[in-house]
Amino acid sequence: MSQRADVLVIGAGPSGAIVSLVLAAAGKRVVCLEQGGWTRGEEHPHADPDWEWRRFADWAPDPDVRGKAEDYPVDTDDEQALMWAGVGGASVIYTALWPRLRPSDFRKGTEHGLAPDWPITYEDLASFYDRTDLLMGTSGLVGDQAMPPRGPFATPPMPAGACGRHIAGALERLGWHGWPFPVAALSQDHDGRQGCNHCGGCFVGCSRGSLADASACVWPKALAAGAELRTGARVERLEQDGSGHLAGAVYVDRATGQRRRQEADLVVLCANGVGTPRLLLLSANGSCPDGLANRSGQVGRNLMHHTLVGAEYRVDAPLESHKGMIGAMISSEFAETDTRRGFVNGFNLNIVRAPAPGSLAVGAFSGHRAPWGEGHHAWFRRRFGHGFRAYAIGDDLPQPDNRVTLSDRRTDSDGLPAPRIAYRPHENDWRQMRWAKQRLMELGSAAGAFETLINDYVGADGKYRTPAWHLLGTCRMGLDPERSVVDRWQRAWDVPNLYIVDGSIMPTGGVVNPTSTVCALALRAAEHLRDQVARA
Amino acid sequence: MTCALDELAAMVDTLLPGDGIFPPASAAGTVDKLAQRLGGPARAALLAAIEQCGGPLGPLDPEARRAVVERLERGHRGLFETVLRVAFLGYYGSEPVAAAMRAGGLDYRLTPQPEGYAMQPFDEERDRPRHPRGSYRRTEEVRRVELPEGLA
Repeated sequence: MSQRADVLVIGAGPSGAIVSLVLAAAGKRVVCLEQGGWTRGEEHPHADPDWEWRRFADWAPDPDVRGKAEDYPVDTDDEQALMWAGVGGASVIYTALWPRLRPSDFRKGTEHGLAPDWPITYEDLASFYDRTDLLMGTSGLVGDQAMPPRGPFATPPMPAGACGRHIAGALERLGWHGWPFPVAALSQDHDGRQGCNHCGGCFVGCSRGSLADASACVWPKALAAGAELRTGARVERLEQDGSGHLAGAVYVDRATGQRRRQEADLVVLCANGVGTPRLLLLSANGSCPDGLANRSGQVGRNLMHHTLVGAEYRVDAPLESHKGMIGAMISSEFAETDTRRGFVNGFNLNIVRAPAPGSLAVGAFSGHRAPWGEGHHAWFRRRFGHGFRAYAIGDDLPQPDNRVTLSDRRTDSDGLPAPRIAYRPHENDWRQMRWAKQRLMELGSAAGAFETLINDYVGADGKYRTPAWHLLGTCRMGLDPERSVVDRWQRAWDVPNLYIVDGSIMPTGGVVNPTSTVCALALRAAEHLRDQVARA
Repeated sequence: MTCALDELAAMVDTLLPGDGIFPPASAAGTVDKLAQRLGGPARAALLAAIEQCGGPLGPLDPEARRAVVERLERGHRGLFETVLRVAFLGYYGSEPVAAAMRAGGLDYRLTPQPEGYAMQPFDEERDRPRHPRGSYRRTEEVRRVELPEGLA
């Protein structure tokens, strides 16, 4: 057995990194267990001629496609979850789009009652957003009136380029809001990291460290502060003592296959919206037969991914859209609820640069591939570098039957049950996606697109299967222990020394990529632990 | 194996023929990639399916090859789409194709790194949005709405 820790962190993604940094810097003995390993910059495929192929093979966002031993499979026919088992978590492969939740996102219970209020407000989180912006290294433009004031960013906005200016022109013609996308990537050298060189390869992460991969921008600081990071350590279960407190965790040392135990005073679970409920369910015991911290029955329920409809546009103007940081513009024109549309909640338009040549040809994002044969090259010449994409990312309603449970037919490479996922959009989500599709068509018209290709993620069998980039809601925070898993400080109602610090605690998902919020929540929880709990 | 590779070459050149600037797929390393990435069983299935559809392709002229591949596309949709996907990604992962893109006037490199691309920095004067649009509902402004029909 290893030496007892003050704090045991499980999962080395962005939130685990931030918790480890804050508590190690405060002098606590922090041990972090991570089932995967390190991915160094040079291991990214950006310098490999077959980098695009690899994005669909060993760098695929879906663990079931990668099939690596450190990943766990996901038993579902409802989606393709994006995950990365390793130091940095999904930030190793995400696109680092860094918008924030809006104040109304915290008040959906008040607004319409089909989702709960958060037990905290935007104002409670605002200063933590500001500080994690600087910690992670962001770039952007202050002054966006569609959001509460934010800033400063660590570096100036990314270059607009012809693509960004073309999109801005289209939004202007429509009279819609549009703003340069805030991103967690550096436009200039900063904090010992290199600025972006606009390679356009963001969809396999970043080999330069310009993009805020937590393994590159937080973990070096956490390790320097004294945190211990144990890779290849897959937690099998959390162990409770007779008093109901956690004693620690049992994990598989994947290098040797041996089971080991790590004891700690506090356990902080940072394993994402699928991995966290999975581990709580795996930790069922005699006094908690339905899973740890699950007296409410809410562990694993209310899974949210955001609604998603995509569009790919092709225009005659040369946009050089294969160059530059993927995020170009954001439009928050439709972000707030307006019930005249026939639904509650809203969506943002994430407007991004177009894919690289192979991805364009196979229709990786549009769902529409190139023709083959004699016409292929003319097709390609007209489209490559002449396009952009937009995603309507909306606030899906939390539903109890959208949930993570344990699979009875699939296991990971250590024999632990895989998560099973069930996910279906709510009627409100369908209405929102249908309405958003029309707005995406309008954007194409305003941009002068000669081709607008909608991807609604509905297959030939009529089933919606989202790429599930965002894993939220499965251990929601709240004020009522009967209806939530953690309290406003992210402490499990049922287990006094267990904290949950990842996207699973978000009661609603808003209309934005969630990592900025996950990081802000992590910093808030970590400082609370440092100042109020660990000291005691 | 040589015969199989010749047949795969005929297949990929039917999918991606040259056009004077872009090379035919067989000249861009696509055959080896297709053979390797499909793996033995899928490769054998492809060759058998080609024969079922009127192949082998080798002895046929381009028009007849196209007719065979069209039958393959209609009759073996899943296999065909897999082959096409592997061929497209393999083709665009080759330097001769990147060179053809440059010859057509594109500033394009086969690999994103290490060079990346030069871009003009964000120019406040030129690139800052001038519009006054954009608003949000403040925390204290959030009010109960009436649910749209069918959502209660």
